Amino acid sequence: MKATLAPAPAASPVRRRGRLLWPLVALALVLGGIGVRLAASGGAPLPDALQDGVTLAISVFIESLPFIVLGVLLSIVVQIWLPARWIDRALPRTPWLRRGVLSLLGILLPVCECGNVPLARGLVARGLAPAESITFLLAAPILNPVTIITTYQAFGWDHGILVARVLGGFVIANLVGWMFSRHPDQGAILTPSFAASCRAHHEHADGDRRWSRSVARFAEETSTLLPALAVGCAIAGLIQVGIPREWLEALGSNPWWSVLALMALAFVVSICSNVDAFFMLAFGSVFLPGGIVAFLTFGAMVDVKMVALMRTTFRTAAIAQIVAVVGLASLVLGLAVNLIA
Amino acid sequence: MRDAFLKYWRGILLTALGAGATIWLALSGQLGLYIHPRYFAFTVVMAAIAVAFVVVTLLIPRQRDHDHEEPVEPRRTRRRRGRLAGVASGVLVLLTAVLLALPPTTLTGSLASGRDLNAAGITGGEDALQLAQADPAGFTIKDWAVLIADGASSRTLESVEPQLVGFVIADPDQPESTFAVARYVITCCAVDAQPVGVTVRLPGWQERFASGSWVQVQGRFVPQDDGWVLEASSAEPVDQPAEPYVY
Repeated sequence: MKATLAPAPAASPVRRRGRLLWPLVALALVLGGIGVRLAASGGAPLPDALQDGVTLAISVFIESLPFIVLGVLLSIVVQIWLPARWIDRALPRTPWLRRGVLSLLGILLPVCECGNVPLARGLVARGLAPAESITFLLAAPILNPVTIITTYQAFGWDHGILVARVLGGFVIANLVGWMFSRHPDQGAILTPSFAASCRAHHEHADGDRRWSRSVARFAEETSTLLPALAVGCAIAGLIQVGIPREWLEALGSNPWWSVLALMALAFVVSICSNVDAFFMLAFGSVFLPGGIVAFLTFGAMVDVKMVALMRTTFRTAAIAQIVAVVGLASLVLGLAVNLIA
Repeated sequence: MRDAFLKYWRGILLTALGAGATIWLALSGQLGLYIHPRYFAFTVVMAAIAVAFVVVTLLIPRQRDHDHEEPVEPRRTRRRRGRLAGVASGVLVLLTAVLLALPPTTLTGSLASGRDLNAAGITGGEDALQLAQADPAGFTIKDWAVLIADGASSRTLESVEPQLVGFVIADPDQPESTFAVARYVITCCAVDAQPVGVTVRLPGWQERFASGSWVQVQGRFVPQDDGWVLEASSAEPVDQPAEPYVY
């Protein structure tokens, strides 16, 4: 049953001006940008640090955008085109086994972590529990063939880094999934607006105007995710030029600090899990193996960009719990590797 | 109604901006300033699909079912969420405006001074073995750095007079006489950029170039301490090349 909304009051002139403000500011910024470009005719009018921050932010955005688009397309397929009974049949009934299977779904859908957010949203809209979608969201960036192959190419079997990453990722994702499955009100994990959107989705019959619903879903998902991605990229870019990397590198040889420093670096750089192992090669000679494992595990699950994207779907308290548990578990994993390796 | 309208068209507008900028960078040959060439095809195809969705959205009537969603959040929360979405959209528009205002560019040399030189991609091993048997005429700065790091034989290094183009990083130990001519090596996108370079000896270089500027250096390798440096016979300032990164 749908609630009936009262007719909206007529907009006052002040409110009408308010509505026009944002598009006008956007238009002015874009036109201003073109004007500056035409007037400057080359050169870089920004200080180096700011210019590098902008370049880094744009770089992360352009690298992530196709994965977001792919994730939204897969989400549309899951939500609108795939019969719900197929998903039900494919997944086991036992909750822990069901989460275990979902955490391996990344093997079939090897997109990077930001592309998994729209897909996880699609799975929830299709009826999966939020705890199950969180398990998938955390596990898929690590338990997928591209990530495993690139980690092997970078480190081989050295110091058990590959094994620790794969097994650690699986265990941590399922630990967090189990933790949230104990939540008495699964709907309370989600933001109210996304929960409402899921309820609206369930009210549609299959086969009802699928094409127009697909287009509408694309518009809604991109409307939610792209602003979050932009903010995440901007923060990641600016932090990278704001925090000197040598501060982190100075901590590399200490068993404790090497783990913590690389986890902090992973959170900041927001690098794609498919290639982060190559990036980590640069630090292989400076940091202990446990720090590298912590970077590869924590960074694939949680970073600035991912937190911004997760805010579109999960409540702030839930995200804080996810970050805390993944962080602690990655810390323990990293210290254990340092102890053994 | 208004929220649903804004939510619908904001996504379309932002997708058009992001995908349009990506395609423009690809067509103008500048996509390589931000991502590795191996991702060009995937990135452009997904951007084209996104543009196709935008066009279809403009052609078919908007589906209005979600306009009747029940208002589950208090008005204050909705206002705050709306403001946050507005700020986030503003950031994206700002990034687009900056992209339009500033010429797309590589990372500057000043970022490299805070990062370890030759920490990445200098793996030696098979790479160095293949390089030792290849024609050095086409070697990049990264190739020379790999060979030097791998302890290439003096016969290989002394028999050549390479011409290298890269940006300048001052040597912190001997800033008056030596600098590194460097490039960024990237594996995915500019975020993972790490500087690789070759040490150049050219006393008084600071009177001719600024740190971070692009130069073309030619010379011969000579042993120094436990490595090799390029004894420059000529060095000229040059413009940044169209493909500033190495892979």
